[in-house]
Amino acid sequence: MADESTPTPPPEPPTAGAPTPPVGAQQAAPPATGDGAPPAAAERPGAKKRAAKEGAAAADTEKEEKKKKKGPPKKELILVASSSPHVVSDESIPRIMYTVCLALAPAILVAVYCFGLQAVKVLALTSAACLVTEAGLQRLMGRRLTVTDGSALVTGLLLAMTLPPSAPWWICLLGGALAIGVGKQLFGGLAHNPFNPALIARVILLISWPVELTTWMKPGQGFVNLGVDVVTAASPLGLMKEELIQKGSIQVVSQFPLRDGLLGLNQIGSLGETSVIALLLGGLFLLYRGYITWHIPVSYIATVGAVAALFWGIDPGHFAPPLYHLVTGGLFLGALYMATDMVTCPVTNRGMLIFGMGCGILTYFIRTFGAYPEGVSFAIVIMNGAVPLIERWVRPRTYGHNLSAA
Amino acid sequence: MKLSAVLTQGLWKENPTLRMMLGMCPVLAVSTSATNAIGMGVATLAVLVASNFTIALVKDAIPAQVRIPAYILMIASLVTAVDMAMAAWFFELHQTLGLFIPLIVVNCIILGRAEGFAAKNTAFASIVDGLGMGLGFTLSITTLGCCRELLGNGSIFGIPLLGDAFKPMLLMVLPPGAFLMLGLLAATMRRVDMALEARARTVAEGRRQRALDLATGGAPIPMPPGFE
Amino acid sequence: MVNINRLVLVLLVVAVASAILLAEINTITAPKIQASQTAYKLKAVQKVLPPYDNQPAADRQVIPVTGGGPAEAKVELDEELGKEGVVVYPAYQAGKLVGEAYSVISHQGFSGDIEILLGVSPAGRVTGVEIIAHAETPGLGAKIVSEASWKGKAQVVGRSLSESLVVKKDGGEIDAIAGATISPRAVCGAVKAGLEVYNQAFKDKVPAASPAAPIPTAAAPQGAHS
Repeated sequence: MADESTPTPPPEPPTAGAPTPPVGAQQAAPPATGDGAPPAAAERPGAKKRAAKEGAAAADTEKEEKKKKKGPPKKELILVASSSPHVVSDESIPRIMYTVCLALAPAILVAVYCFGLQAVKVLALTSAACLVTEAGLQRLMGRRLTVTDGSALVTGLLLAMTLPPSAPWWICLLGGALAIGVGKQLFGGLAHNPFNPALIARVILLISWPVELTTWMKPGQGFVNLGVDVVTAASPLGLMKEELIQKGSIQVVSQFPLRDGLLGLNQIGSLGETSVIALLLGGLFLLYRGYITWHIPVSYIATVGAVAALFWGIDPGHFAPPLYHLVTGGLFLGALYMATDMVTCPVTNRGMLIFGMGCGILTYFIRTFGAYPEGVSFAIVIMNGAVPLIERWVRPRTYGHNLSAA
Repeated sequence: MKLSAVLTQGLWKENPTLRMMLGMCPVLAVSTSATNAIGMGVATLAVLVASNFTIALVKDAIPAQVRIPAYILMIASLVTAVDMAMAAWFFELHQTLGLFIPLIVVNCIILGRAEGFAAKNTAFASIVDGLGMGLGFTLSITTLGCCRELLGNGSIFGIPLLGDAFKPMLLMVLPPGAFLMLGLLAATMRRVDMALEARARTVAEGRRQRALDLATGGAPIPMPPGFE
Repeated sequence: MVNINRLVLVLLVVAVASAILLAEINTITAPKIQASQTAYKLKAVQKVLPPYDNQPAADRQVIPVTGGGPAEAKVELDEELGKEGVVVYPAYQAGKLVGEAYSVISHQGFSGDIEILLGVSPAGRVTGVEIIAHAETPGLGAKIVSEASWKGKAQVVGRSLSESLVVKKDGGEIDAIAGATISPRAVCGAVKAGLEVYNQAFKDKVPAASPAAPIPTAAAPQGAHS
């Protein structure tokens, strides 16, 4: 008990305008001067608890009386010590998180339109697993319950968008638990995680259960039945890799209708790999609300396009054209919603540009030369790891310091 | 220090793997299955006991300036001996453990115990210390191996345990799984310690209270000034 | 100041003692290691060859070939015979050549080379395949090592170059492993390359009749396949 060991509150400062100590320090601070030698202090040592409490209470009333006597309080300068930022706005974590959910709505609708109940199942299970894990772990570790702030829901929805619609129930549940458990709470909870939690879960799932994570179903099948025997199909990127290995050249690309990729109503892939237009819609909304900036998505997507164009220019028979790389796979989902995660991306504009470029280069190289058909999740997680280095590299000059280097 | 304490400190309190985080390279690399892990553990145990013993025997004859190269030379010879012995009698295990047997030379536990214990203690105590530390290492790496094999392959010591419906979590037998599992094990160990400490505190508190009650007949004692 | 000579002397003594110790252990273990290595190799040789009554290790031949390509016969230096080339273990049954075993390496494994031991009959048909060394992902590509986890390993047996030695995913007849096509594909490629080498370089290089009369010793793995 704090009030037990401290002397009675200090009397009013003798002169108005003298700064009182910050709130937290008030109790421990010794009285400033003269007239108010603590009345009870002399008897205090050895006094029993009750006496101390009474003393404190008496002091409180005394103080109040003093205030009353003085009538309207004098102009006091109260300094509250708190850390930055000091600008007050009506932004809050729940507001940001639920806005992100809203931004995901068009893509979710397309996914549900394409994959029906299967999509609903995956979305519901992962989100539920994320929420339950968040609440459970916070309780277990004695942290404040913040499960309603929407961040776990965003993680759950994003994770679901990276999973194939035919993902079995246990993949969904385990994925949600891994995202929040390993990706977020183990690091200390929201804003302490160096990696995007949804992507950490996706990467663990992909490495652990490659079969389940790369079995796709054709759109339109899961609409009515939740059956397990859906006809499997290959994703465009998987198809490209297979052809490359088998025939040494790619033909699937020329047959690929670009409209499919943009509208996404007939595209095979994860829930969030369907419609570029729907993803873009949500992304533009986030941009409009100011929750993301243009730097990462633009530099990411442009880099993928540029590198793809370079290789395609060298050997069109061996490398897919840039547009193919842009509209297939999870590039837009990753670039708009995951790479831009405000916890795990750099804070400076230059840093974000570098971050996006790194993601783009890695994505292209993993897709083309790596063992996995899709590289967006790996690329972003790797670049998440590089964020501290990027921040160090592009650290802005402190105002007034190091002028010559500017 | 009592010999029993020397023997047991490596098992828990100063567990080389999960407490002191020494010799991580073989721990992470070889713990993909329980069999590999126990093979590595026993090989390290053998080297540790032999090197502790040898170094404790010759410690007075070796001048401080050349002790590190001399120790390394002795440890390297012992490791090579173990390596050859394993190749001769446990050929298949030797094939799987491969490069990691020669790498025991640079395992920090070995030199750490040589410097930290064997160079200051008697030969017998050093053997006991080597046994304790080696067992601690073997136990922790085998536990890690069991956990990883169970989750990553559904078996322990090659015996399938989890049935066909279990889909093994491949990550666990890959390097990242080693880090994850090691972290979880170390955290579990810390948690157990915290629980034990908390319990010990309550017990001590209770004992103190009982003693007080006994001394004062249950009446509250006035605190001396300044001790509130 | 410590006498530098003493330091040198101590280190010298330690080094000499170590050397003597290791030399002693080496003399004890060397023959044992040699035997284990041969036994290890022979175990695989036995598995890929039809029943035989000779000693393939003693009758082995070293045939020089030019390698290259994504999969190639393993060229090694046989120190005992003093020759460099592909080491071929022939199997004779009643003095007649029934099969040959040799190592083939594929460079198309998922992580690193895959070395297989290939058994081939004189007619150019596969008599068996064993995976000698690989670094494939445990639980995934590593399933190639046993018939239980990779059906394709048994399906390859009995095939010749005129038949399909391609995994189903690539339009062939051999089963792949779900989630890991690369490793079975690499093994199939190695088998194919091994058969090609056989037709080009090995045919007629190994004597069709047993060079020595079968030696009936206890060590001879007689009736290994009975």
